[in-house]
Amino acid sequence: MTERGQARLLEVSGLQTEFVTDDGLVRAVDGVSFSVDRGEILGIVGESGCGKSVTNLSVMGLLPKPQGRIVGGSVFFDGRDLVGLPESELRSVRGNRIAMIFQDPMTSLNPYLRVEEQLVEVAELHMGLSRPEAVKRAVELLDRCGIPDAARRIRGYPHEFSGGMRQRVMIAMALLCDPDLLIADEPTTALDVTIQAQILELIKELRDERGMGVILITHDLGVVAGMCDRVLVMYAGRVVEEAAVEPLFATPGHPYTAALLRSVPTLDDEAHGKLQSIAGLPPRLDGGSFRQCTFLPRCALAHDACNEGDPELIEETPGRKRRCILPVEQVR
Amino acid sequence: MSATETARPTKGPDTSRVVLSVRDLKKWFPIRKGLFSRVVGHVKAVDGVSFDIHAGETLGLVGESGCGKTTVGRTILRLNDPVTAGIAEFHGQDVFELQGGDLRALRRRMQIIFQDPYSSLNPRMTVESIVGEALTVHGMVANKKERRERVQDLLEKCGLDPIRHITRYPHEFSGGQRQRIGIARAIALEPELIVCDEPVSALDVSIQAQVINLLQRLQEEMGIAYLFIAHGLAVVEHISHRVAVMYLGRIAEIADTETLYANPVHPYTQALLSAIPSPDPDAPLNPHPLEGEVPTPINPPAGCRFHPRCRFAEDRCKSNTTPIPIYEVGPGHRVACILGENVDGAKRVGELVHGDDETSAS
Repeated sequence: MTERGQARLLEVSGLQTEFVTDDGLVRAVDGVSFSVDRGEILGIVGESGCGKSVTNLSVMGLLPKPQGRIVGGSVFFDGRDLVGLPESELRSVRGNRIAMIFQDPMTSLNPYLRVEEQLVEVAELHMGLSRPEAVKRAVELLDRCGIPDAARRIRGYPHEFSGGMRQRVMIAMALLCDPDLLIADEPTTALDVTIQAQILELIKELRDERGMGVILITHDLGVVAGMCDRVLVMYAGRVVEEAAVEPLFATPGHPYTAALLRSVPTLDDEAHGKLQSIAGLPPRLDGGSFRQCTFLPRCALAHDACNEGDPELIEETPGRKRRCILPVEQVR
Repeated sequence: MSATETARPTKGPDTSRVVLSVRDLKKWFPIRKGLFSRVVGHVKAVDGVSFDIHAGETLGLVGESGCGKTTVGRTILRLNDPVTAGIAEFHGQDVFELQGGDLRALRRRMQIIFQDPYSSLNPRMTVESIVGEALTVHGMVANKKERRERVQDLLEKCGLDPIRHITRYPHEFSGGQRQRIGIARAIALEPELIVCDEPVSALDVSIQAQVINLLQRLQEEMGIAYLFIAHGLAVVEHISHRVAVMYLGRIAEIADTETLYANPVHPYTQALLSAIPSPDPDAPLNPHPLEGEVPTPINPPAGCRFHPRCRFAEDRCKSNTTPIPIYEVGPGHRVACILGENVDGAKRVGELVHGDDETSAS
């Protein structure tokens, strides 16, 4: 137990993931490194296709096969490298120690099975509980996740639950085995703001109670600001900035982060003004090396020197990394 | 109905011209059961909604899923026939009375942009046929050459490449570009009103901003009025001149955007606004999170429909014996809540009547 307390919960270094597609090779994740501590919420943000979901599927060993594979790097979870681990061992880590919740709670639940079957199956399989024990634990967790009348509702089918309630069922299922790490991939994107607020609050409370590490993947910067301790900004399969949440929002260190922040309509900005948008689209990721900054074609601050090679991710101050050659004061 | 062209404003809403006037709109969907499809109840998706939209104005319509906002948009476009009750006057003519050719003429002047840019474009049609189809149907172009030129103009207006993109199919475009194709299609007939049903909800934030800017530019250039339906309150604030908040088929509060966001009176509006995560790590946490979920519109709560989730609910909110008052608490700012009486200068202008549930719904 003492050893568990010392090591980083999750340490990903130099992760590279490739997909074989009809259009050739796509390097969806290109040298991503980050870590998560116990009790910490790490946010990962970026546009669709930036590799944030693939990064976490790689961590979980859930890449679609045979198209996707990890071609480099390591994923140390609690001191053990998960890359290359046989499926049987990986399965004992997944579910028991790392759990994941997805964006769409309808497609992640089996519509033909009662919620009870789905929850109890997990508890029996991963924790070796007897049926009555498993039911008891499932009801406890549903209750903890805010499902009223859990002992009765557990007998229902997924379609009898609303979107917010289904997401609570998913969270309860993820927590059954008391995981050390929870990966939440856009957990509230399909939900209304009022329900979103309830679910986020629940995740935060559970983090405080159980001291789990949480990776929160989202494109909503409002959610990041309210929830996360640290943030990873991804672009074109790489990390372009990493920082604690306050400095990131106060003084973004990469033009992409700054542009993302500007493109969010906020409640206090001037109505009917022009929203700042980011022109163009992210580059194609065909696995070749970039001869210039990947963000250059879309960057408002680009100048000649940006053509000379893709900048490295540099840790300028402790805990703060960015991939841009501009002095931080000039980024806006 | 002939399409008489009037001079269109170039900037800002023209409050002297009402484009669409909706009064007591109701749309109930029957629930059928059993061998003879007996009607056993109704989903009261829209249950007494009234509002006006002026020329060149954007009216935002917000609320949680299932509050009936999409049904309002579809019903006034006659996509949900038949209407249960109420009128919707488009330039003084009730759209629910139109038939045949008149209805087609109306469709030319009222268009819709859908939420999902993937399922709303026919994958087997080229961009030219998607955008140009309506031009041919409504006889607005004489021949193919003219149609191609018109489509090219429209693509250019919507930020697409008029030469390279015109022969392509929808799958060759990204989500944001597809939404631009949907917009080009909607403006092809130079409509006066476009119902925008969650047009940016499916897009990335950076792309969202591009599409919102495009919609705003088109409104300035063409004087189009928008009914902008969305659940993202920040987006609605940005684009709308006025905002209506819906809850369980009824409008809880309506006001100009600044007033509504700065001084919301209805507890539901307040709760919705405080639930939005702010992109500022130092922002205070939501002090009064809304508990529970939207009740079913099949059997809505008695009295004020919001009372089971309301912090301020009193006994008189909870039964059908006292009607819910509607107060005008400022110019154009109406709220359907008893709290309206505490606002200085509030005027009682009407009430939401209960107990009409047994009236026959056609």
